[in-house]
Amino acid sequence: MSPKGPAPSSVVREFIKDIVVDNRFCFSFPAETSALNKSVASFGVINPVWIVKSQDNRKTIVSGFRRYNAARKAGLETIPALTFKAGREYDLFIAHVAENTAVRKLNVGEISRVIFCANEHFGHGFEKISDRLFDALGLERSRKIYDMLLAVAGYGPAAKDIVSAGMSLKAAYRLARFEPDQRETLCKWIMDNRYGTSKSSLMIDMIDDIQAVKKKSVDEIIADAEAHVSPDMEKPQRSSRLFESVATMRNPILARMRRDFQTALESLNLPPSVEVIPPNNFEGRHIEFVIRARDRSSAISSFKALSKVAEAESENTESSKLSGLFGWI
Amino acid sequence: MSFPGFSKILIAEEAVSTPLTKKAKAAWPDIAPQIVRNLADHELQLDMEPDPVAAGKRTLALGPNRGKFIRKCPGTMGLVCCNYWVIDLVEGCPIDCSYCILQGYLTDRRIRLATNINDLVDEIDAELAGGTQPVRVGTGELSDSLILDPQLGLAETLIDIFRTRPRATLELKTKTANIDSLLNLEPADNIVIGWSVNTPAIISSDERGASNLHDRLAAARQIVKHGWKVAFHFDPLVLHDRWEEGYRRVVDDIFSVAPPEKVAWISLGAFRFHPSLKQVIRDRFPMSDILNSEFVLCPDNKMRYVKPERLKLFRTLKNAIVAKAPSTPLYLCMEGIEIWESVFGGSPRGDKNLCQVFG
Repeated sequence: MSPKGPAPSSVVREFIKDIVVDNRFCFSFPAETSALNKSVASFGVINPVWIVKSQDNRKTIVSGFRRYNAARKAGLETIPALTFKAGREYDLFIAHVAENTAVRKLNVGEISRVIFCANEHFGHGFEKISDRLFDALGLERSRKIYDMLLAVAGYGPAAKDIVSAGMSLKAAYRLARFEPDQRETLCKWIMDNRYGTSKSSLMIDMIDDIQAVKKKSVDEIIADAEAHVSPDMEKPQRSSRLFESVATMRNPILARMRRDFQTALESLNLPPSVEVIPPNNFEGRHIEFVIRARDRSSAISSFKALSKVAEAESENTESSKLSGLFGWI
Repeated sequence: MSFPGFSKILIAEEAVSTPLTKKAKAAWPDIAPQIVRNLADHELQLDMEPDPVAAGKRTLALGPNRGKFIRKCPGTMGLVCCNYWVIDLVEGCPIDCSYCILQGYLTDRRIRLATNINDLVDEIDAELAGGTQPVRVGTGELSDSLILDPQLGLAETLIDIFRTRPRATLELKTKTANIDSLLNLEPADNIVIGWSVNTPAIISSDERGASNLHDRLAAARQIVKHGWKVAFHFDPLVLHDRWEEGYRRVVDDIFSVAPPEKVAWISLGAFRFHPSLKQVIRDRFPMSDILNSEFVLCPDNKMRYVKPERLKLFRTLKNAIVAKAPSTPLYLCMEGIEIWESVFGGSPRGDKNLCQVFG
């Protein structure tokens, strides 16, 4: 059986200066990787790029943009290329996507760009795109997914950076609920604070909720969070405090319950070897008292400390400190 | 176009000549039904549609139920169970509520109607054989019990089945005012017509296609007058603008149409949802404010209002209901024992009225 796609020439070397870029085919993001740049600088381009040659001999690159950019950066004069005749560009686009997905997992930013290109540049609608591309991209054939991807493709640069860093489509799509300028502001702020993928997703979710509940803009929410954290604090701690500050805005009652619990706990003066754990989100019936001991004597000293608390409590039921721990129910 | 407005009817080959299929064909004469060998091969997910949930609600699929009709409501570990049994005669609901779990729960998005109703009778007898404890059964878990009643008359069929099986109490739970067929039947002690109720604000923003509160309660008034027992379900209770006043008024309205002795039970369930439903609600009900509150993840992996808010909701409703009907059985839906204790001062086991309802 012979393949159905457009047939290339054998590998030839093309002058880099003669090659023009067809952006309709560009979906790799980020557009450069330092590892590839280094490899090309050391060993040159090994895998040929794909070129479409028009009747007037115009040479357009349609696959291998990162290799092409790395070769230019490294100052190479020529690049190995497979050459195709003009006329079957959409088939080439599909083959180009399939080539990529066969060797690596595309991120959400890239997948959304593929769908956008197929729709906007090649003029195909949902039916045709889902028919030929969804399988290659590992997507379920769903109109909803198609719409979500097109929405993500319209994001600005900061949002694209975030969604391309390993975010799921569902998480990426949450950003669609923000106005474009607010989305960019939020994403820049998230990047500045260097949150990982899951914290970024949580942050987007929380700020989206706060927007809806408190009717505040992203700028106002960020300003509120910033106002509660000292600007002099170092980055990782500060980012973490900002996250807590937003979480408190999102769940003020839960935050108050946690604060009250902590205050009650501190007033008990328990030894550090005793950990008191409320149920997650205070949903449950029991508090856990955990005693950590590395030997017999440290266990005994913890027991003694707890006995003292118990004695004080039984003598003084009216102003019980211990019952403060159970105030959440 | 009358509601529900189906645009497609699929019929399994083997169900073509059943009485229920004939009724469905007569009820929607403008739709040419498509006869298919296997219902599962046809438009199950409807994922090619812009809104698969809405598209599913426009497709009626008739065929035999290959699984069990009756199942015990699975309940959830750690939560108080009300011992409800569920009959899945219809799966899927033409009414479109923002908070509906079915939007994410059912893999088949169509409205499916089981045509082998005779098998249901055998199953009921098998389930009831041997035991003596009262059993509560309902059809309102995966659909609305009366939504298709004007066209298909399922209520009468079910009532006839249960009328002669007094160990079981059948509840037909609805958000409609489709009671005409019930007014032609002799009431029975073990049949209860239940209404899901909410404030007019929530009904208009979050319950597309359901009857308004006035119509539901007017129907309840007629049903009571005719001699049937009724039940009411405040589920989901939703925090919204002036909710306290709104829910108190609903309680007042309920007891203005149904005297306490005719109310078999009332349940309270605070809005809860699987986290994945959030995006569905946002997408499908962009004008709804139902998510604009403080929620926390609970041990059963559902989001609920943070505990003090839930308690405020339950206590407000409980006080309003108890003031009007102190001995009407009142219970919480899908809550842990600590919430029961905080609201009622004890567990359902300590409540004689509830023990009779829960069995």
